Amino acid sequence: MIRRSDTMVPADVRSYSENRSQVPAGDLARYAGKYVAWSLDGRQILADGADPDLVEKQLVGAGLDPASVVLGYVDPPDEAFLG
Amino acid sequence: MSLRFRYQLAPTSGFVIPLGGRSVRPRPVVPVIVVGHTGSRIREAILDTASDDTVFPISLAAQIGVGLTGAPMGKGSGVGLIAVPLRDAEVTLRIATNQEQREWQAWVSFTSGSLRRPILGFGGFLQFFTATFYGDREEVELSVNSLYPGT
Repeated sequence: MIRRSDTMVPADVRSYSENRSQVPAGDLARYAGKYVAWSLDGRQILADGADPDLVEKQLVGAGLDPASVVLGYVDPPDEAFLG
Repeated sequence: MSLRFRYQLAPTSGFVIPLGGRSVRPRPVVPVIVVGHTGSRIREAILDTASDDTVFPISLAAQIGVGLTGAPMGKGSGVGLIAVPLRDAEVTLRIATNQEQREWQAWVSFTSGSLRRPILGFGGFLQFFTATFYGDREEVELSVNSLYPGT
């Protein structure tokens, strides 16, 4: 069983969804087909790349903690998601 | 009390006929914190009532310190019916809004198959919630049910 230790408190994402939903969809078009690392407040993209490992390397290189971002994916604009 | 998440709007290259010609597709995507033995990561994941299991990419297991050696194995398939390998392991999941946060232990699957974003399916996730999908408001509301094992 995994129990969270006192020193590993997960980041706070309580305001993420509300702010993220306010980002105009058109602003995401240039990230189509890429993975993106969002700030915890859902207001800005901090890194992007073709795969999650690349994004994580960018974050580390920039001195950011990969555990303190939200990793998402921007779907290609001409594809429907079918589950 | 409940957790409400707005659908995320994905841009499209043209007009979506089934949606009356809109140029976005709304999707029930929520941020989920996944905690392992040595670390945690936050992923946007899609709520999928058609998925039997909750599934994450296998690369995440290594990032958070979840060992999969000897883990229970299985197979899964979706659209296209291409089977992908699954390995099951227990993690801590956490979701939160400004109104409420929830954290629980869950058995989830990790796959080496192609997975653009994690899937929050029945096992490990939706089994513990009453989920109401508001198509008109483009929101999903999650309320813990009697099976919810967490805090």
